[in-house]
Amino acid sequence: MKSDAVIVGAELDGLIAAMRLLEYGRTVRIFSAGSGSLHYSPGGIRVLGYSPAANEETVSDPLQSLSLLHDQHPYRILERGKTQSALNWFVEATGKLDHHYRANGLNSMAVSPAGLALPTYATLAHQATFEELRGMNAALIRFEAFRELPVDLLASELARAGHEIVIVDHKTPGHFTENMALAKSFDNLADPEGYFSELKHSLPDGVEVVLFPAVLGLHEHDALLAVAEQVLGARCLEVATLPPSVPGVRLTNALETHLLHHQALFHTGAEVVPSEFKGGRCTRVVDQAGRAFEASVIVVSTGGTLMGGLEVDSRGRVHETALGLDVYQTEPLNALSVDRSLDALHEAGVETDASLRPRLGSESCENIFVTGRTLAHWNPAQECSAEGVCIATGWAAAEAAQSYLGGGS
Amino acid sequence: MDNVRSNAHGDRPHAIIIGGGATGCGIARDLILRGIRVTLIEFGDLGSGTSSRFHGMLQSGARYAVSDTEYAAECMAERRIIANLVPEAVEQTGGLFVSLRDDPADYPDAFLSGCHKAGIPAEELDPEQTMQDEPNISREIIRSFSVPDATIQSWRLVNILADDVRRRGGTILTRHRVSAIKTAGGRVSGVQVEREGSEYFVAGDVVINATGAWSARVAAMVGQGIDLELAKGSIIVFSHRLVSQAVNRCRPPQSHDIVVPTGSVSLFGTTSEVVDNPDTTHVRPEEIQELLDNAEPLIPDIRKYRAFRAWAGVRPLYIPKSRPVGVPLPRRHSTFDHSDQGVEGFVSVCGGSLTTHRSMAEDVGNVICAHLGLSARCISASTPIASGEKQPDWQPVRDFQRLEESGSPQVAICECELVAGADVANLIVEHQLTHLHDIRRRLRVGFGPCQGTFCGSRVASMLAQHHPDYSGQSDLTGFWTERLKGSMRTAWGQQARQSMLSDAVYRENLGLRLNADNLPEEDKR
Repeated sequence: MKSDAVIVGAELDGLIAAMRLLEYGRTVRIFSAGSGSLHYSPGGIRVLGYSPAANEETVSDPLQSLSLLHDQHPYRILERGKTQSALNWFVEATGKLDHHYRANGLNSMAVSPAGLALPTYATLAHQATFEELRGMNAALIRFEAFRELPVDLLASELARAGHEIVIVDHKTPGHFTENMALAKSFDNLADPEGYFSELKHSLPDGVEVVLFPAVLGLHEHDALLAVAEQVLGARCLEVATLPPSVPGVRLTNALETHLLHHQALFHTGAEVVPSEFKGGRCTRVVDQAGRAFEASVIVVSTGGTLMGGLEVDSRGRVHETALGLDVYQTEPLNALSVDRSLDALHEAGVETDASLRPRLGSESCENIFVTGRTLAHWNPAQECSAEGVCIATGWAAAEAAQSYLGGGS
Repeated sequence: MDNVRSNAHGDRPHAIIIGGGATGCGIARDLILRGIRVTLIEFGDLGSGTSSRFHGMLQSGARYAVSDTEYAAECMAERRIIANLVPEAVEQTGGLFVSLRDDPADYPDAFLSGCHKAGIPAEELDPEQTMQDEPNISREIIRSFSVPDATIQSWRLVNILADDVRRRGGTILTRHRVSAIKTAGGRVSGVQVEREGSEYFVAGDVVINATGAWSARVAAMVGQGIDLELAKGSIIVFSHRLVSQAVNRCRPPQSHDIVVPTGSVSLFGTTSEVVDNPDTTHVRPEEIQELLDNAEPLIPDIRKYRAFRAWAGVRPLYIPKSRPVGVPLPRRHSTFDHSDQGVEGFVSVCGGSLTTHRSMAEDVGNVICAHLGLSARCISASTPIASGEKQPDWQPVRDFQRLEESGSPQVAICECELVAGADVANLIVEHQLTHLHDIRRRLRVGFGPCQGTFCGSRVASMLAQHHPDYSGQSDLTGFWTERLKGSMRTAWGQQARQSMLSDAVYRENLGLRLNADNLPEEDKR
């Protein structure tokens, strides 16, 4: 059971690394203990939303602003231009998977479930943004008993930002009110024209934009939104909900389906431990059932503390869970103030060289690459940078792995 | 109320109570039952001070059986009364006192005889049986005793008392601040009250200072001094019931020796350190380690369990004029009639505990009646609480059944504590609540394992629906940072992961910013 690469963790960065390695014709095996943090992602690709300076101003041109970050930040340890290349590649590659991102280099302001702005580098074609709401008569659809979008809060915060929104109540296609089940009932909608025609009767005259909770199907969303726009005669947009995020699951599904079609092997519900770690190399992992898997390179995309890739003990020390790699942290978390400790938990993680290779004890690991939230020195929550760092480091890890494996890029 | 004498204006006398904790609410109820008009003024929300910042026990008194047998007897008597008066707030868990191998060997016998003297039905158990009944506790138990300890939902108690006062015609003002206590000719005439920038005067015949840890500050408004020691106590909350009964160390009462099961969680406490400021609710990181180190002998695997959060409250302990050296300060309350110091009609009470709040109120009532020349007796122990409105159920299983039976499409707003959306909506409308915190205290929204991760924005949305000028962004930020303040102190294991999930929702998904300005100074770096 040998493959070129073993990916530990099915985070966005792991899926990206797998996809890129498959493009190079490499064989890939992916182990995941559960679902990745894309399930919490509102849908767009956030690269850098806030300046790291104390005033935390909103960043308008994220790629130009990467130089403001401190030099240990994952964007900064990658060679200049790599982030841009990774993002260009991502937008093009996902375009082929029917994920049409709009990216013009500048941040647009995606609408959060609470009606606040999420500075986003690439938004989905039907993702609600403040730019598209400006000066428009907008309606917001409220589904009965659906808890996962705080509609009244959203409307009141949008009103506070100068966007008057009418709330319009409408029924759901079935009895389900949980995100995933509701999305599936939209997929199974027998008569979309009828459903949206009924909604049209409740809409006030002159509505130019209609906002829906982002649950309009797991697979049929593009078709449904097209029908909605035609029937309602208005631009139809989706606002992300509380997790699990349907747009995040759509992207996960698209990437995983693509990987499966290209012969990646998935082991879900599997946790692996390394074996035969010597001379800075690890070429074998073992799963819970004791089965061994050989690989020339290992990519660790285990998702940091959020997804279990890092663990904190009761004395405030952080540990890396998959391979037991060295972890950077400022000082024990429990020695920090409350506001600092949350940020310190993000910033803790694995430090690497420019090729994303970590250290274990005194040794540098030559065939291990660490990506995404498991890396130290970045903070997706403060920077608004989650997907960007995952894509850049996943892509860069694949590039480095390909070159380690003796191939050209 | 025939025995109530009218004042000079022909009205019934009017008492103003400052402080809306268990003590203040208990006093308001005691006095209104004696036919006195009452107005209670609370700076924050009811029960938001020390009343809710303790280990949640309704004590049998066994803890003080040796050190203060008289106080122990008072606890036992009051524990019985409270459990009968407000059974919906009390869980009869029972209590255990366990003596570990290294604990003082002579204490258990003294303990048992102290309990008997205090009228506490303590019984010696077979230690083997105790260890079998409580699998999470130490295997080194030498002797063990059962006592009738219970736990109490303090917010529920306080709100039940306040609702009873309201139904009987009393006035409860929350989020009102007393800016001055007015006197005329050496006696109090009323208080100046401030709310959201506007001020007004409330006239009263007597003013009662029931502000606990804050009582020295309030007394200072009329130039009076009260000698208080402010003892901060910190507590850790664990995610499930580690024990089925409240488990105490059987040794002279001291710090960190008790684990209390309450609702779906357990508390371990308590530290003790003298502080200057009654607003100090900051838990120092060192206190967490101190608690864990001291919990390990009692619950050996304590570091492996998930802890939700930590909090601190400030106990107001009265320092008697003649204080024997080396003896702990008495727990029993003290009542001060400031008439003796030249302020007629001003009474302070401090010390005591939530368990004895009713007898504190009774003593204050007696002083007030004597002052006003009334002969009305205290009837607070024997008068049932008029339950005019249904209290929302809080037992999770009961709630779940109620949610299912209601057939309403309005599902749980808070899955952790199983709070129905309809209950939140009713509360917002009936009590005109405008803050997430106030809803949290009444319905336990945000108290569970997720610490408000999912319910916060849902409840904020309901507030936005009912209050057009509701500021969701600032209220949610305040709510979340307050939850974080407690949960980051215990961010290890699964709770660290939970904190990151909470951050993934609040900052990464909802788009809030973590604003250190929302935290008290002491919680910032």
